[in-house]
Amino acid sequence: MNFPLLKLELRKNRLSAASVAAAFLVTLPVSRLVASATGMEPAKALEAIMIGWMLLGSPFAAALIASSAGAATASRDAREAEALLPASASRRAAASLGAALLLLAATTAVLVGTAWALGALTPLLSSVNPELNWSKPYWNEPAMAPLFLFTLVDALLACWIMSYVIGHAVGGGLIGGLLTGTTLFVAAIGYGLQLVHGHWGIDMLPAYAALAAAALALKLAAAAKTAAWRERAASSRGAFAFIAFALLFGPAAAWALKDYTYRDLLSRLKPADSPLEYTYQPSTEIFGAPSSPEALSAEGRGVALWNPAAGLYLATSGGVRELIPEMKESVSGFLFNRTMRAGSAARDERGVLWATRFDYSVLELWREDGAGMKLVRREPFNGLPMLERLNRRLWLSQWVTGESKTRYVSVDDFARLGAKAPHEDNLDAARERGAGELGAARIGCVGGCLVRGGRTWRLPGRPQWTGTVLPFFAGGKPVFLVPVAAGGKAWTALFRADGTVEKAWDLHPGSYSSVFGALPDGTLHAFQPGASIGLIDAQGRVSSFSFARLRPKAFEGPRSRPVLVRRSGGRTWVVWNQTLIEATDAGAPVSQAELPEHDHLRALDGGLLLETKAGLLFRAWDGTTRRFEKPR
Amino acid sequence: MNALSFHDVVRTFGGSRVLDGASGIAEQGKVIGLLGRNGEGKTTLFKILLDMLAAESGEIEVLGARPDGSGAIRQLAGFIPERPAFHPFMNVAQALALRASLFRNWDAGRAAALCRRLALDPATRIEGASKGTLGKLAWVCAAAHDPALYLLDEPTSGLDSLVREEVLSGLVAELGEAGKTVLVTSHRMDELAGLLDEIWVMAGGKIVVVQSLDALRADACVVSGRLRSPDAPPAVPGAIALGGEGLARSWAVLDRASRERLLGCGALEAPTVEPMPLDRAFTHLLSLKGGAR
Repeated sequence: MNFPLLKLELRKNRLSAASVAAAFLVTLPVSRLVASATGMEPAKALEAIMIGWMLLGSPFAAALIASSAGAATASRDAREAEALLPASASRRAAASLGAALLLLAATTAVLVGTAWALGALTPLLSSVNPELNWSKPYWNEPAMAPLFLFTLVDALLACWIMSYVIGHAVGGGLIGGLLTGTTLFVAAIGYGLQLVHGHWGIDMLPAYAALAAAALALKLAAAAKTAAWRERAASSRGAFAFIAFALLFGPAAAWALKDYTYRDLLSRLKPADSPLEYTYQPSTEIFGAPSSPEALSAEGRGVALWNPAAGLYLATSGGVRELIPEMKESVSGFLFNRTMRAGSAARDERGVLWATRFDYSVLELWREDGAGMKLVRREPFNGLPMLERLNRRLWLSQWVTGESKTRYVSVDDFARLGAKAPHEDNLDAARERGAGELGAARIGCVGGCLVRGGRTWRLPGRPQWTGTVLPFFAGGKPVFLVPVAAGGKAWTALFRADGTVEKAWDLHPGSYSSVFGALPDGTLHAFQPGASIGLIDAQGRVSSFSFARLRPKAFEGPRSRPVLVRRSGGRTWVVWNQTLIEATDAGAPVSQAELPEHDHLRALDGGLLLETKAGLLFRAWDGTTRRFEKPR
Repeated sequence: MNALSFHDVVRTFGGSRVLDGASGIAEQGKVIGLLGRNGEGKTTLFKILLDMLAAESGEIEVLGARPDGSGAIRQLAGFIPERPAFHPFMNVAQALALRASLFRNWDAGRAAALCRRLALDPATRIEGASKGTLGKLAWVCAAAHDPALYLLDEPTSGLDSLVREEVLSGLVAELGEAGKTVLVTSHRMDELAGLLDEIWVMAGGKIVVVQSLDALRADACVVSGRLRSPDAPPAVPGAIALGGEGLARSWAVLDRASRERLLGCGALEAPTVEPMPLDRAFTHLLSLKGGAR
């Protein structure tokens, strides 16, 4: 194709681009002088010059090339020479802008190409401090690459337009640089916040894009009115089209980018895992939380899932259904870059599902009610500085949903706490009260007995921890599991409500803990690092299951751990190494099948829920697999 | 068929209404001289017709096309500006090559022939070129795509006498013979008198006179005579008093009706009628119709 106007503009502006490239090439040997004058190593002096060119030189080159092109196109000489050509003012302006873009690309290519050549021809780059490597400032932080590109393009547009508007290269370049600096400053603030508070998932790019687009719209509107149509009435169709584009560009760009953080944007620039539609989140902790067959059974019937917009869904063997609609994005949240939303869920001992979720403006507590969820509380953030408020609420929501040391408190307590955030002391009191209400026991008698209310059990050995022991409810009554050791052996002792104490299962020597899980029928299972899985069913019956001779050779090793996923008709199903599901009968393997690659799995009453890169898969017990789609 | 028509065209610059309802129709094949004092809006009118400027109101049609900001009209017309401008970093050949890539009907052979005819060296650098060289290049640029309409704004300005003769008796005459429509302004319209079919006079932002040159040539005259009474010099519309001595008086008359009115008013003894040279007729046209500004 032939682009005569573009060629013309390239020729008109080649001097500015050539000057930048020449200045760059000249500074390379100058690095020797810098090295000798400052005492730096020559390699580091060159490195410093490269970093300077990348950080400052590129935006400066963009400003120089663009302002030169803009002013040249607006000049009286150019307009008189080109007005007779059969091309519109818009086409001529577009050719000038396009030429500036191409020339910037060419000078950047010289810059990058030279750096690569230096790296290839000499061991220079590998000899310098890796932290000073010229490319590091740009590409080792997720936000920098898009930020750099945005800055270059924004500097180019701003300087071109302002130079075109006022018809003066230096003045236009200064004003354009100021505009770019303003938007860059906003972006840098967001970038800094992201570095400091990465867990916030700062979503600055939409705000930056919106701001940059708004500034651009103003620039283009000004250009449309005063420059491109200097010699035409403002009512021309071209002017209107240009202004319309400028005004629509901002909202369109912001809308297109609103779902992406810097990290998300960067992940789109390189091969990455497909984003999940849901955040898989087991909705209850099995051990350490007050576990009951009712809770475990409910969890086996359906597991709660969050999506990024804080919508809550319930995955059952039949599919996924919505429990709580997504949180709507507020205008203020978008403008002030508070677009993060999160939620957590837990089941109480009756199997009732509770959920908290928040964005930066509101915190909500929901409770399962019949087939759906009912909003229990909804309160705005107020009265405390943003950060303190946010942290407190985050912590509070964890506390409600059974995380870490605060899990003892019943979720009902949250509803009673009132609008004011609890003081730490109050929280401790609430925690103790909640533990009592939940029937916790504690190790007492200087480690010799287990005490709950008026009942005392004598420990059959030395307890492996002290403090509070939460109950597991079996047959409607609490039982307590405490690992003990005596005579060089270790086992898990089971304390029943009727005062009896029995050995539940042996512990592997040197390992005094178990990894607990649950089956959809309410059975609690405890993996022993040795070679067995202990079981307590919903009626409180204790058994153990040895898997030592079942372990496939390929899965031998410390990380190989079977996960019990189903018991039915005397058979037991285990999943090995997230790869293989095996059915056993009386300890002998019956059948095997491979599972799709997955990150997490969860047993439901009808099959396995698998979190995979491709989304949420459900593998029924008969082996059929289907993808769970997000309900529309 | 009309090559060019415009109706009620208005354009202001700042507070000045340069075109104030200008209207005109140019038939295809006509060579029209556009007369007007400096600042009457002739160049502005040309730029609007060529879609280089937008009119604030009015209807314009050029060879069936309407100005839309795209510049497409300039594919159809040739324009010689009063002060031709080109990119100074180019030479003549490069300036022509640029246009060759933009004009659909560009004829490189025609461009080369025009260069030879006007003694224009393609290797001439534009930076530092004389006004005459730029004028010649403007002619080549205007004519190489063989447009049906030419708008010539002082087309002989800066040209030496030899080239001027070549342009006038050669190029412009050939355009007329080839059936091209030409709208031309010149401060020396008498040079073009033999080529013109029609004369338009622009004044007050409007076309105030449209007259066939044949009629002007036939009717423009100087009427002289002695006043019968020194106290009652005749005031005849269309008759321009030229002065005189004693009772002897002369009037310039540009149309037949005015001449008849002057001769029939009875105020003159032994009136005589002499044909008026066209250059003087153009001057009187301007003073009669454009004097208000």
